[in-house]
Parts: sequence; structure tokens; C-alpha cells
Amino acid sequence: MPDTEAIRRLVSDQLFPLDEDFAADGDLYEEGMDSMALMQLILVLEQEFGVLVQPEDLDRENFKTLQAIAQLVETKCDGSAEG
Amino acid sequence: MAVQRDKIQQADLVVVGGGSAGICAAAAAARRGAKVVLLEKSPLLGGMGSLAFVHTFCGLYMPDVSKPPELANPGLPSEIEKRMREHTGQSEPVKMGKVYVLPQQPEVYDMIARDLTDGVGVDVRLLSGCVGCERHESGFLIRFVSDGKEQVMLCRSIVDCSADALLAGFLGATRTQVEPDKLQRPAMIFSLSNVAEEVADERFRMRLALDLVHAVKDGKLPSGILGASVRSSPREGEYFISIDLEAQGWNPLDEQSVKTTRAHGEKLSRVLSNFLRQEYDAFKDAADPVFAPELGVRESCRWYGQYELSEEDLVTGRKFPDTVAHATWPLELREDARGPKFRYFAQKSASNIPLRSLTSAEVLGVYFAGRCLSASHEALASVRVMGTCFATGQAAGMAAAIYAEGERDVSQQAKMIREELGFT
Repeated sequence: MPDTEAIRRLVSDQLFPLDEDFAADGDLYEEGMDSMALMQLILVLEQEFGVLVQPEDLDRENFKTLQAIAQLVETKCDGSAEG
Repeated sequence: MAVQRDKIQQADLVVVGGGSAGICAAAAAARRGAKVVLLEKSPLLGGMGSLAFVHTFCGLYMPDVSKPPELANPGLPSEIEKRMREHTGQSEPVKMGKVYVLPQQPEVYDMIARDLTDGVGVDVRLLSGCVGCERHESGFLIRFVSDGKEQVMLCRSIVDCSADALLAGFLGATRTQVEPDKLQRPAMIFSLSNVAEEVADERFRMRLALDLVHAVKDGKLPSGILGASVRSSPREGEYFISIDLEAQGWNPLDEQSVKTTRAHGEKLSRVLSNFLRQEYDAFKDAADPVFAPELGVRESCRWYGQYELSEEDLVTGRKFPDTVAHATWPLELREDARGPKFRYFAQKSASNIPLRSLTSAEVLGVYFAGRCLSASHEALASVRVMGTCFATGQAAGMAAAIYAEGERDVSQQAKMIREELGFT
């Protein structure tokens, strides 16, 4: 399961830079999250954590904060573990 | 071949390149009363904004989205913003994350650029490619090809807005370019019209993003598609789709490289456009894609100026006594085709561009603006955008006109420009 720190590194390295002190519940849409960034994010989440993002996951709130992304990935990991 | 003296045409100054910087340089100089000739190699004015379908004016507004949008540069940048809003019926700019932008329409932009330059008496020569420039006792001799023959123009000063520091090559001055691997990636842009409004919807965009990732994973689409983004045009039913290209061995000054890269970009565009029209109701009635005639080039060669603008200058808001233009766009690095990497300014106000970074360190009477000003690779990632090109073009044009009037001192030129623009 990824912690918010892992998600922060991933967002910072692959999408847009985040300050060291950017809060886990800070609004990523204010930092430049848009549909192109989302495409890159889905790509790296699926690559890094082996999850499959589904159409029903496409809620704006699921990608709004580092915490929300970590939670989404966690839910997906649990789901796949249960088969 | 020698040209007869009576065949030599004359102007106070010549601007090479009719893109965002060039139109403003020419108009600003003409407004000071200079006899200005603007040479543009293509049939259109507006550069990347008309030829490459770059469809947003970036860098026009102050970098603080907690406040209402405020224009960062007085004069021509503000006038063009107003004209574009009026012609496209946009009452205000669009907030995109931490910045404001103004969506623009390429054909409308070309028209605005022609109106603007015609209105102040610029002698615009379209389909006129500059093929040489040499120093002359009273200034410069510019050679260009137009109407199927070579023509020669004598002028006192020149503004290079060619985007590639073309004149530096002719004059034997220093041209700099970052190593090819780090060059900003080019983009292929195409438009689709008769598209349903639903495409503007965030939910639609999210679904499209997901579908594209999965289509690539399933091998239905090539991975190059992952550099794509969709934006609405100010024209109803029109959308622009931009694909950043990895472009192996990319060299914007090599004809073969440009040709191969554009062909690849067009191929990807066709694949994507077919996919969109087949898979989505919102795109099913869309007309055939219209491809931008040129690639969107973000970086090539630049001049060596009296001052080279650096990343630190911009992110710390460094002040200069000869500031003549403001930069507000974050450093937008696109060294791969996986989306932009932004670095924002530390301060919420505009950063500064000194006249010395628009003035040759080697050849007196030569100014430059737009993408070929004197800046580091990183700094250029901010100041290359069209809104900032208007501002550097305006300042360089004024400086070249002042030079042609007889004032040779750069700090004095800056003082005059600052006074006219109301910079304090």
C-alpha cells in the first residue's frame, strides 16, 4: 500500500513539482492537475502499483489530494488481493 | 551577384519574422515614426500562433490567480489581448491551475496581426524569406527573396524575431543552443470542428484520459498518443488536440529532422482523430482534422546578448535598472513528451526582462526578441510563450527605433522605453 509520501514523490517527479511541505490534503487541482496530468497519473499508478483504474473511479475527488490518491490505490490493491 | 545601387530599397529598420514578437516589434517601432519593413517567410502573420495552431496566449496576466486577472505588460500585449477577446467574444481569460490564459483562434490571430501592423503603417512583406545580412557603413544590408527575385534592403537597425537567431548566423555572431537531448520537445497540433460541447466537460476529459491509457496498454493505440491533450477553441464546436512528440534526434534547424518529425506527428494525429471519431458520440460528426502546417517548436537557437536571462532571475523576481518587459509564465519544461514540468516563481508578481537581454553583445544596432532572446535553456522555458513574446517584441522594436533615431546608448534607450511604457 502506498503512503502519501510515495504518492507525493510520484506526483512531484512525474507530473508537477510539489513543495516539501505540501499538505497530504492539499488541493492538487490548484497545483496544475488537469486531464493531461491525470492521464500521466493513471499511467504511473497502474505501472507502479499494478492496479487497474476503472471508469467508476473517475471521480474528481479521488484525484484531488495525495491522501485521496493513496486511498484509491489502497482500495484497488485490496480489491485485487481478494480476487 | 552585385545588386545595382538604385535597386537597393531603404528603411529605418527591418524586423525579420512576423510571429508574436515580430508583429509587436514592427508595430512598436512604426508607432515611434520609424519606416519599418517586416519580413515574413510564410503567407501568414502570427508565427506559432497561426502556423502551428498554438491556441492559448500564455504569459499575458500576472501570476496570482487568487486575484482577478491583471495584464502584465502595457501597450501592444494588452491591445492584442483586448482585440482577441473582442473578436472571439471572450469576456475574460480562463484559469488553468495556477495561471490565467486566453484561448485564441489561429485564423483570427493572423487577421488581428495584419490589422495591427497595417494600422500603424508597417510595410509587411509576406512570402519574403531573409537569405542574408551583412554590415554596411550606414547600418545593415538585408537580402531577401520575394516575388521570385532577390531584393536588398538597407537599414539602420534590425530586430531578429526569426525564433532561430537567423541573423546571428549571417552576421557571424554567437548563436547558442542547448544540447539536443535537452531541447524542449515539439508539438503537433490539429483541430477538429463540429464537435459536441460535452468534450469541454471535465468528466468527459477524465474518461478520455483513462481510455487513452488503456488503449495504449492494449496495443490499440501507439504510445506516442500519451503526449496528447485536448483544449477547446474560442470558436464554437472547434477543439484543438496537441500531441507532444518525443522526436528522436530532434533538431528544429534541420530540414530532414523537421520533415520526419512532422510526418510522424501527422500520422499520430490521424490515428488519434480516427479513434476519437469511432469511439465517442461527441466526436462522431466531427469534420476531417485540419493539421497545423508547422510543428509547434518551443526552442532552437538564441542570440548572445549583453545579458543572459537566467532561471534564478525569473524565479526570484530579480530587478534590473533596464527592465523593459515583464515575464509571468512559470518555467514550463517539456524535455520529454509526458506533459509539462512547471517551476513557479517564488513571488506572486511579475519577473523582469532587461533590455540588455534583447541587445547584441557583439553587433551594434542589432536587437532580438521572442524565442531567440538571450536566455538560458531554463529561463527560455518561461519567456518563450506568446504573451511574453509580445512584450519582448514591443521593447526590442522600440529600442531599434530609438537606435535608428541616433541614440546609441542602451541604458538611455531603456530609460526612454520605461518612461513610455510607464514602468517605475
